[in-house]
Amino acid sequence: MTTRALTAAANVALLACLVVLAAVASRRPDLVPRVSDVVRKAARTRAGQLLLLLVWWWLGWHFLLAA
Amino acid sequence: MLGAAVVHVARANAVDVAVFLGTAVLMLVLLRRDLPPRTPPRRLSGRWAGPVAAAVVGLVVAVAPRASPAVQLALAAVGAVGLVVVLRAGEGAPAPRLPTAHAWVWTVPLLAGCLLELGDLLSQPDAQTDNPDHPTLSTLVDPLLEGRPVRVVVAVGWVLVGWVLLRTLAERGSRR
Repeated sequence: MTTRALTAAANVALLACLVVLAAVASRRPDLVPRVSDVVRKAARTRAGQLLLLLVWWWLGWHFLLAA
Repeated sequence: MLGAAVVHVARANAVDVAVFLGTAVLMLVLLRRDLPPRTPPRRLSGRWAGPVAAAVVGLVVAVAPRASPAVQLALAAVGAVGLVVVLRAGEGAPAPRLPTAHAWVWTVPLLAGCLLELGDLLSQPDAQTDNPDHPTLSTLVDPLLEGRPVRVVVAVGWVLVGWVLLRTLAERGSRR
């Protein structure tokens, strides 16, 4: 396996982790909080609000425009 | 935040530097003196605001070349609207519906992803040249986004996710 394939596999594995976490959170929110609750917690401060806005906006800006 | 800005300085990307440093400065300014909370503009809080914005951005992405000024303007406008909504919302969103004691679980894969991305960036021969052996996420994803239909779907999804996020950020309720 090439290092390029390993890097891609690592990214896919991390994405899979997030999907699994979201699935666990939907069934057992006492064990893993739902994304909506984590966002609500972060949004209670100004810094959290701005950070969430920045992360969302920048991901769109970065990926939708040519690299 | 400042670390990310430093990375963007190394990448010599003026827009990213301005956005990250600008957000950091805005955080400091609002920490010292916040704006009085106001309700979001009526047109932005309506039921159809998100779908209409998604349709407009999707249309622009569909008809204009990828890095054209039209696409840049559409994406920047979406961000500007989001900033207005957040600035007017004020501090103190409602409390989470359920306890978030284990919220740190989410940070593990996200932090691992950031470290992987940073490692890939540092392995590049220079800030503007990709390392084919250790490609960054954008290098891996970029060929997929070359296709216009995929880009339109991603753009529409991005706006709709942002719409849901903004509605959450602008929620009113149990203020501190």
